Parts: sequence; C-alpha cells; structure tokens
Amino acid sequence: MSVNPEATELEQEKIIPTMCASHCGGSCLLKVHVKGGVITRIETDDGAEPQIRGCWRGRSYRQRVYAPDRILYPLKRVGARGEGKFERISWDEALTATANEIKRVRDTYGPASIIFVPMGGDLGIIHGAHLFDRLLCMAGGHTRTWGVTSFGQGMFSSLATYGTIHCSNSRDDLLNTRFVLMWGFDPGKCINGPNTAWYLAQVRDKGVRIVSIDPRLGDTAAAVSDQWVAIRPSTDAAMAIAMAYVIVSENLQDQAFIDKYTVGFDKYRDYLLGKEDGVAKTPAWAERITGVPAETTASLARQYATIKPAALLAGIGPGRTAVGEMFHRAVAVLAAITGNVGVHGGDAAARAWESLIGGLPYKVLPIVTRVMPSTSNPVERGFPVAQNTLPTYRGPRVHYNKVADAILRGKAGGYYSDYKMLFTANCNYLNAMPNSNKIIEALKKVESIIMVEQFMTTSAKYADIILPTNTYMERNDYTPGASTWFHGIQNKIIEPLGESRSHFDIATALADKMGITGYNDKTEAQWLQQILTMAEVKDVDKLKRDGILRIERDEPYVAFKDFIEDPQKNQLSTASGKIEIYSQTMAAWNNPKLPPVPQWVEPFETLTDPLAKKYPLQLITPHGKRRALGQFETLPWLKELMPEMVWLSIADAKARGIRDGDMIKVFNDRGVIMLPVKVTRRMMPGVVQVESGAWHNFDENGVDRGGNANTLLGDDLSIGGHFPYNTCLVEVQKVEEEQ
Amino acid sequence: MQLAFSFDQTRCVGCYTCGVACKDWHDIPAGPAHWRRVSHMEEGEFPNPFVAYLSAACNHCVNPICATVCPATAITKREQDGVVLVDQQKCREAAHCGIISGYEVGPAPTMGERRSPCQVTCPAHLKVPGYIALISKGLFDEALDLIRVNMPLPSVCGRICTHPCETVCKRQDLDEPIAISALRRFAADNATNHVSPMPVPRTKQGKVAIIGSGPAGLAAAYDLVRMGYGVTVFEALPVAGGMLAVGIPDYRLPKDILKREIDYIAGLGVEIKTNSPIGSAFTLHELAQQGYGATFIATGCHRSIKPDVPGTELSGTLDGVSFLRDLNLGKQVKVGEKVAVIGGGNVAIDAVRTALRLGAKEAFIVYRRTRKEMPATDEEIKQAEEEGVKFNYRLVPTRIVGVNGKVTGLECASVRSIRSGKQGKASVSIVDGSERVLAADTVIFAIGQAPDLDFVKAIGGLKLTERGTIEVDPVTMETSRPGIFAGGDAVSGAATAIEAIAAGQRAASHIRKFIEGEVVSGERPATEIRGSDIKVKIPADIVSAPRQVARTLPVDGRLVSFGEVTAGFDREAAMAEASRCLNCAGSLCRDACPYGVPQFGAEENAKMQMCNFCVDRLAENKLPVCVGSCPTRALDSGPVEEMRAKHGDGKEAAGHAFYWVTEAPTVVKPKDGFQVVPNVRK
Repeated sequence: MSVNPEATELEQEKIIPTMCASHCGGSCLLKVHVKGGVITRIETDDGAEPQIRGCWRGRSYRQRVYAPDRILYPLKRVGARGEGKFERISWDEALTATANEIKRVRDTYGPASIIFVPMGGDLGIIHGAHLFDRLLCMAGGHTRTWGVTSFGQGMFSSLATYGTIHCSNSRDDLLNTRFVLMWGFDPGKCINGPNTAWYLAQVRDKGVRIVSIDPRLGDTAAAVSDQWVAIRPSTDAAMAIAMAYVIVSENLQDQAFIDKYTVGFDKYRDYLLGKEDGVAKTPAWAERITGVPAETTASLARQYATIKPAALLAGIGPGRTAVGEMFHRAVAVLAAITGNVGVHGGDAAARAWESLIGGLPYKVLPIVTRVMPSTSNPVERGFPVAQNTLPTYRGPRVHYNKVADAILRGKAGGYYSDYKMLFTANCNYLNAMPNSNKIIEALKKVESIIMVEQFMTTSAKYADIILPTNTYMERNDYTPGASTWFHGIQNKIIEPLGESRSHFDIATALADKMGITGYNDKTEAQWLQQILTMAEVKDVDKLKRDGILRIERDEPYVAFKDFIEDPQKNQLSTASGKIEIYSQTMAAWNNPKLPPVPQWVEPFETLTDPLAKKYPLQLITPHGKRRALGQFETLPWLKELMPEMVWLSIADAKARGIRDGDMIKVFNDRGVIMLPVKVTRRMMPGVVQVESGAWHNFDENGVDRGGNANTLLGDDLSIGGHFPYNTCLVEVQKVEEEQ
Repeated sequence: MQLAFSFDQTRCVGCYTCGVACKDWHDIPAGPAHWRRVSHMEEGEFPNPFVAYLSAACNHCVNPICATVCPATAITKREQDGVVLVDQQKCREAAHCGIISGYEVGPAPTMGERRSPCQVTCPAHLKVPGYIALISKGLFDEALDLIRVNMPLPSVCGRICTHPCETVCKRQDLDEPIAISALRRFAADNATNHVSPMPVPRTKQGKVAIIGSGPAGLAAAYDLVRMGYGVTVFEALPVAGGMLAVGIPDYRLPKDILKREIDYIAGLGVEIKTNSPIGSAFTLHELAQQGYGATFIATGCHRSIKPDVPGTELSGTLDGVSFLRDLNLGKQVKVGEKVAVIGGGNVAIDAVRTALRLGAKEAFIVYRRTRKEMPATDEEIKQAEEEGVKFNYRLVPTRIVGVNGKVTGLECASVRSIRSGKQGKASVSIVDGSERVLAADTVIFAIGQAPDLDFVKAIGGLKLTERGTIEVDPVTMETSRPGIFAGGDAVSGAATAIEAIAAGQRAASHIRKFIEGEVVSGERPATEIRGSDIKVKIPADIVSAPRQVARTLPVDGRLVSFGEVTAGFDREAAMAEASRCLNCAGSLCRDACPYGVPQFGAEENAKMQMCNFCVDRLAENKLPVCVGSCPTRALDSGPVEEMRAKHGDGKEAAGHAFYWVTEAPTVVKPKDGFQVVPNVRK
C-alpha cells in the first residue's frame, strides 16, 4: 500500500466512520483513517457506552482491503480448473462472455440448468448476492438453492415452537438474569451480536452463576463460566430431555405458565416418563448417550428450574448436528416449561444469536430486506411458493448442501434438472460446504462457472470468469445492527481498488449487456435514500457523520413479552397460537425422525455407529477464530496471532503418541487433512476440533494441508434437512515426516 | 503523575483485538514485534482445567530498568505522565550496543534473538551482559534479581563456578575476559534483597519429591516452587546442600553463605527434610502414596573411585570425597605430615589445600597429565601453588608402599603416553624403569567419583548405564520409570555445579509437563549455536583495560584457618570490572526487563520497539488503542491511583507502576509464561 507522497503532503488525514458487517455474527462501528486516498489506520467506537467496538477482524480490515491476493481485474481462466491460472481481461470482455454464456446455457439446456449459489460476505442491503438472483430471474430464470447453513436447525425449531424466527432478547437484557446456561455458545469468538461477551462478563461480575455445556471449553466459557460440562457432540438433545425429566418428575415446572401459554405438555411428560416406549428419560439414561454424569444433569436441571429468571443461551453449534432440530426443540421447551419465555432476564432458548436474518423485531431493517426485490423466478412458476415456514417442500430448488451432488447426478439422480452452469456470488462454495472432494469433482464437471469474488479463494480457482467485486470500504450501503438497537451506514471510504466494482455496478452492467430492461432504475445514492426512508431514519446526516444511529428505547427488548402480557390479543403464529411443546405441524408429517414433541432421535455417524470402530473420534467444526466463515483467511496479522491447529485432548494424544505441536493427520473415508495439533485440556476426550473455514491446500497425494474441515464432513442432511457440521467421525494420527 | 494499565484477567477471552489494534495503529508488520501480547495458559485436568489469558505490554515502570542499562540513553521517562519512551534515532546508533554481526553468527538469529557468547555458553543461560550492565551502574539489587531469574544459588555459583562463560568471553581477544563469576558473587554479596523472600503462592495441585539437596535438586526445587507446585527435598545427610555442603571446604565456600542461599529457597516454600535417606526413611512407593506426582532423583556422586593399585587397604589411605565430607560434617579428621593427593580435579585440589590447613607440613599432587589438562580451575591451582602445594605432572601411581600396615610412601612412574578409551577410561603406558617412591604418610585419592546407587537396586525398574549412572532420556530427564526423573552427577557422573543446576532446571520444566498431563516423551533437542561459534569484531576504539583482580587473603594468613581465601571485589573494582563488558549481543534493555517488553524486528540493527502508551492519542485525550479496543473491557488505563480506586488493589511488583489482575498475582517470569493466582471465583 503505497502512499503518494505529494498527496500526503497536501491532504489532511480524514476519519470516516463505517459499519463493519463481515458476516461474522456482529456489525460494529469502525472509524477509518484515510490519507491520500489510502486507509492508514482503523479505530472503533469511542463514544458513550455501550460502545459498539470492532473485533480483531474489523480492526485488521486494512490488511484485507490491501491484501495481495485480492482480485482487482476481471479474469478469464487459462489453466485447468483449480490450477489457478488466469489472464486479465477487460470488463467489456468479461461481461460479454458472461452474458453470452448465460444465454447459451439457458437456450441449450433450459433456464433450470443454471444454478445460482449466493452467500453473505460483506453484508449490506444494496450490495448483495441477491442482485444476481434478480438478474437471473429476469434473464429467464434459474435454479435456486434452499437451506440455511448457519442455523437451519435453530430456525426449524423456532418456527415449530414459537411460529417465528424472531425469538431473541436484546443483549442488554442479560443484565437482568440470575442464572446463565451457555449451551455451545462462544460469543467471545463468534461475537453473536456486539457486546455479548461484555454483557456476560458484567453478569458474572454481579455474582450470577454461568455454566457452559460444550465438548470443548470455549474462549468465553474459559473466561466467564463457573462450570464446564463436557458433552459428546450431537447428543445435546438427550441432555436437555433428561433435564426436562428431572424438572417434571420433581414437579419443578412452572405449571401456571404451561397451562396459560403452551400446548402439548402432557404428551411431552408421557414421553419423558416413558409411558410411550417404556424408557424413562432419566439423567442416567442420558449419561450413556451424552457422557455427562447423571448427577450433573440433574443438578443443572434443578438450578435452571429454580433460579429465576434464567437465560438458556442456545448456541448454534449443538444445533448443527444430525439431530440438531431436536436439541433446539428440547431447549426451547425447557425455557417454556420453566416460564423463562417473554420475561426480563429469561430467554426463549430458541437460538442464541440475534442474527442479521432473524430476530430483528425493531425498527431496523433486517439484512434480508431487498431494495431490488427478486422477481418471480420462471423456473419456479407453477410450484407452491416456498414460505418462511417449516421446510417441507421446495419445488425445483436444490439444497445448498446438495449442489455438488445435483451437478454430478442431475435428473438421473432425481433432481429437477441437469445442471450446466454454476453462478456464485459472495460464496466460496468449495470452502464452505461439506465433502470437498465431491465438490471438486462437480466443479470439474459442470460446463461453466461464473463467480463474483473479492479474493482468489479455493473456489475461485475453478471459475471460468471472475467478476471482481470490491469491499464495503469502497462503496455506500446500509447495514443493520445485529442484536443491537442501531442503524449502521457504510460510507464509502476509498475509491474501488484496481478495476474492482461494486455488486450494484456489476449487476447493472451485466443486465445492460444482456439487454434486460427494467432491471434497475436508480443510482446507488437513490437506493440508499430509499432504504433510509424505509427504515425511518430520522437524522440521516447524523447517521452518515457517526456511522451509527442508536434507537432510543425504554427498556431492553424481550421477545414474546407482548404474548405473555396478553396471549389472546398477541397470539403466536403457530397453529395453536401458543408455544407448541407439541407441534401440530410436525404431527401432521407423521415422520418418526421428526416427532411432534422433542425426542431423542438416534443420529448417524456418532459413537453408536459401527463406523466408530474405524473412526473412533467425533469431529466438531466450530467457526474459525481468525476468519469470518472463509473470509480474512490470508491476513498476515491474524495468521500469525492465531495459527491453525487441531485441538485434541491429552488422553487421545497420549494414546496415539502425539505431542503438542506435532503435525497430525485427521482423516476418514471422505478425505485427509494435515495440521499441527494443540494438545489441550480444553477438549473432551474422544472429540477433535478443526475450526471451519480454512482454505484448502491439496498436495499431490490429495491430502488437504490447508486443513479445511469440509474435506472430512459428509453432505448428508440432518433430520430436518439442515447442515450437520458437527456430526462426523474421524481418526487422527501423527505424521512422521519432514522435520 | 504515573499512568498505568489495568488488566482484568477474568474478562479476557483471548480474542487478540488489542494486539491487532496495536499493530494497526502503530503500523507494525506481521513479524516478531507484538507490543501488546496475549498469552494463554491452562493447567489442571479435564474436566476441571484452569484456563486464563493474560495480556502484557510495557508497564511504564516507576524506575524503568531498561532506561538504566541503555548505553545510548535512548530510553527516557516523561515526567508529566510517567510514560517510558524510546528515541528511535538514538537507539542502536550509540557505539557498541551489540557488536555481533548477524551475518557472522552462523544460523543467523535475528537481532532480537541474539545472545552473547557468555550467555549461550552458560549451561543455565544466565543473562550475563544484563546483570553486568546493572552492576556497572551500581544497581546491585536489580542485578541480583536478574541473576535469580535462572540461578537458584547466586552467591554459591559466584564462588565455585568453573565459569565456562569466561572461557568464551570475547574481551580476551583484546586483553582479558571479564571476571563474570566474581561479579555475580559481588552482586549476590552486596545486594540487599537476598533475605526473607515471600513464599510463592501454591497455585498448583501437584507436588514433587526431590531426592538430594545438591545443586541439581535445589535448582529443580527452585523452579518448581516458583511454578506453584509443592516441593519437598529429601536429604540423606544432616545438612542440606549436597556436595556444596560436604564436598567444598569453607575457605572456598563459607557455610553461612550456602545456608543463606538454601534458606532463601526454603523461604519460597520448599520443604527440606534432612536425615532422610531414601530406602531407609522412605521409599519411592511411599512417596507416590503420599501424593507426590513426580520424583526427581539428584543424589549426586558421593563414592570415590579407588585407584587400581596395590596398597589401598593400608592405614593412611583416604578417599577425597569421604575426607572432605567428614571434615565438613565436623568429624575428627587427621592427616599426617606428608600428604600425597592423587588426581587433578577440584576435589584433589580441595583435598591437598585442606591437608595443609589441617597441619600437614608438606602436601603434593600426583597427576598423570599436564597442568594444562587439569580439570581444576586455574585460579584454584594458582592459589594452591601460592600455598606451597607441589604438583607432580605426568606421573602415575603404581603402588602404595607401607610398613606394618601403615602408609610410608607412594610409588609412581612417569607417563609415556595416555590413550583415551571408551567412557573416559584411558589406558596409560609408563616409561619402563621410571618407578620411584615418594615419601608420604597419607595418601588421598581423588581420581573420580561414582554415584552411590544402592537404593536404585532396591527400588528396581531404573535402568543404569554401563558407567553405573542412571539412564535418562537426554532431553526430558525422565528415567525408565514414568514420572521418575533424574539429573545432576547421578546421571552425568561427576561434573560441575552449574551443569547440575542446568540439569535440575531442565528436569523441572519436564516434570511440570508430566504433572500437567502433557506428553513428555520423545521430544527432540533444540539445536543451539555454540558460544565459541559466535564471531565478534571488537571496535577499534575500545581501550585496553586490565581485568580487576579480586582481593585474596595473604598466603601466610590462609593456612592457619578455613577462612575464605578470595574476598571478592569492592564496589569500585566491581563497577570498573563490569564497565569492561563489550556488550557483544546488545539489546541490554531486553535482557534487563523482567517483563520481556523490549522487542526487535527481524532486520539487521533493528531498533528497539515497545509500547509507547499511544502518546499521540494521549495528547488528544484518547485511550491507548488497545484499551479502547477491548470487546470485554478487560483493559483499562489511567493514573495509577485512579486505576487502584476503580479496580481494587493489585500486585505492585518492585519498581513497577501498576499491573492489576483480579486476584493478586505473582508475576514471576512473564517472558517464559506467567504465573498467577488462579482466577477462582467460588
């Protein structure tokens, strides 16, 4: 990053605020110093508390903007797919080639053969992957994907139990709680809304007991929790069910609350007491599944039921398992039977992350708001419209996780179409989706690949044409606060680097090139104005000047408070209008894998699987600390501070003669990764942790030395059709080679 | 006013935002420099581990030691706010802050990692240039603090060390090496802070049994107790100190000096049980039953090897080790009028000089090699010569001659050649017909020692080497039995005190790993550069200055008592001697700082870097960037008094401004890993 010395002399340093929204789980205020058109430093909120302080990712964004591996010019592939050989082409060539290819595939194979995969990336309302969805719809249609990678199981359960995905309290309400149960929850690392870890530290300072349930002792738990309960991955539902058993059998439930606000308690009690299957779901029953001592489960159940109000913070990790839907159902029901829903200091326990997509019951537009809405997709015409409801039927859509499978098998494999073109935006698909080797096969097979990208990611190496998009520091946008009451604006800090363009510019130019009329009739500034009007931003100048505009309110927001105050007037959107311990919708499916009350359903690929003889360790793949999903991977500051390590328990290391710092292989039938190991007492024996999102680096033997967890994960879906990122069996072995 | 940082350990989630923000604000590239560092510690056992993150930056000390040692006065403390600043212009532009060329050192270490030949050569890697610089400035307490970082017995070591550091000292290329050992002794004798240490808080569950209270055992105990473990030392003899107590005569190492140092170690919390021989008083099995998680065997080499000549059964033959031990334990020890001592090591010299002090009219040494090859230090030999000891070189005993069962002489022959054999066993050929009898009524043999390991056989399971020493993994010091470690002379055979200390330290670090359940076996040794490989080019403008000579007792006064012969430097001589140090490696600030704050980039002649409290922000009334970045508000800064009022009373380390973590911590060695009172909130 060189600074023009003359410009530096002339130009004063400016400080421009913006709202970081890197799909990390938060969105925070950054104050960016610019001199001579170059970003020199980044500060964060230094105003009145609660400040919205940026984390290590936002603070290192300067290195991301100026990273040497950013793509600054349109590229055309000249080597083999995956080889990473490209040549620079002009925008006109790139857009023409893209337009022609879309038309060719559409006209030759039909529009459904174009499969479009969007993801988050830099989150803004104007500049998003959705622009290309609209474009492809207007160009004749395309195949969409369905499924929620981050928290599908949590959404499923929220909809089944509460009829909505907006189930979270605002974070400051944590200060009202008297007991915290963090279940697979690590906001110090995953942010989960700005200031969450800070509020937990304050809660702890007040003497509130905090317990963490997790196969590994996370960073936040290490700092704030009083107790760590280690649990086998994929078995959390069994523990929650056994807690309910203790509460019910010891009559600790809030019966008045249950009677007034819920339906189906009796059916659940019958299940718990074993009236259906003859098996009482006691803590001793659960211990055999979870590895958690029965007395610990029982004690936690009593504490949770009797210390009020109590906040059960259900992280999304335990949900991202083969039976994660039942975990989320079971904990939400725990909150309901103890009367912790809709009260200050409680928590509906639906899903602990008040994310950008759900749980924004404020006057802040959620990120899914679209100023340029998707028009109707010709491919989906005639199929039932996909509702924001329990996932049952998605017409011609392909599940996110099955894109590779769909490309490989097409109609013959039962899919709606054969798929010939892969179009991605903001999506490092190979990196983000399970079963890498299968995806590579598909990426080599599909006829054409177009990508809208910022970086030369592992996926980008397979693209035929790369359309370089810029970062949020190079454009104007609006972004909402996650879990926090504010509007955020992304002011343009610098001119786009190289020839990179904003999403908006790329999509508009491509629409022009394809001759699509009516695609866009406004400028970026006009769209921004429209959003600010929609969001009812009163003081636009202040928002632009400060980067943030807080929304005044009298008290912390609590989800379902209105329902609790008047359940008749403010009925829930469930079939019964109440909290559904027994889900009528699910009952109608009559699917033994998706029972209407929370039940223990045997997951695949856990210790009870015969495969465990060969691969005896359970793999969990939580978010990578130095990354936001796959982003930030190559930043030198972060790389050096947070080296990529497999976490392994001391017991498992000893049994295999592995020392701390050794290079080890983690492998199963799907693939092999190689990384150094951190032998730690923070891991439960029998469990291995590989942080997700590392970029692949396959060697000549097909061993992934980049250490991407997806090389090991399978692409089977959970019982409700979601991503079981934390259900996987592996073995580890010391690598005896290169000193 | 003094500004300070406050850090609440219980709030740190180890996210590194402070570090990234610091790098961004000060535009520090990826690389070795981290002004605001975060370290992770974990201990205990699953499922109840103790885990904590700690953040460290410059403490902006009240009396910054870095400023004191900087030869360029590049480090200053601002009066208005107590912020310590580095003048980048001055740093390393002053002459002679580091004269090693990075390109000549071999496996080129970076500037920040450079070590002087003395420090590299010292088995315990004492920070020699650092404490010498402090002595040269008259900061004897600080010098002793720095020595103590990795030296459990500073006064003792200052007296009896064989100082391999001086052998490689580059000053000798100009005139004479620095008197490193004597300076260390001076600091230890003249500092005021060597009494009544605070006991180290017991922060760890585990406890360790150490068998033998010699330098290896004491060194391991010293390190382990500072790590927070319970440590019990079992000593067979009635006095602690091992060979230091019973192998070295008072005129070299006065008993009160040794006692003072052992008392210091005991004061840290080490329990020392004398009259507790293993095998009779207790067994290893019992130790395990009593909850000792690991055992360190450091029983030394207390058995003299007998020469393979006829006549050793005669009355009047003594072995050197027993002779010195009996004397040191206050037993009646008698020698005749003419005393012959066989051997050329320190034990031989100690025995012959002791014999003179016990009334022998004549005492002489019989040694099979030349003076140059004698293992005893030059200083020892010189003092013995001054005292009238005669040295017979290249002479080997062939027979002890006696009449009526009593020694009357020692028959010797001239050595023609010596061929070294396996395991130090040499074969000597003599000049035919050169045998002659030297008159003597006492013959003391001091030709070598072996471990007295009868107990080892009793325990069983411990493998021995062919030499009869205990076999250990050379890196981890673990014996063939898991959890039983060994070191010192019992493993190496008779060697020096400083080697034993180094062995004890190495064992301690692996004992920690063993107790904490980490995998200790199979580690590879780190490759180290040798002190003699380090090339130093002495700048032309250095003026030759002779080595200061320590005062010694006049010869005629020595033999009438066991009073200490070497009196050591006086203040002026010590400071003058310390000023001779060339400071080969430079970066004294880094060595002297007990918190490891000063940092250097990777490039040649990198300037010192450290936290500057974001003085540019201070001027605008903004917080240091790390403080303003912390997501959980674990960091805070402001005037010390304000911090104390806001966050409660914290630990104030000597000379340091303010460093607060929730429960008062004991910060022992920040550079090598913090040690703190666990943040247990019950």
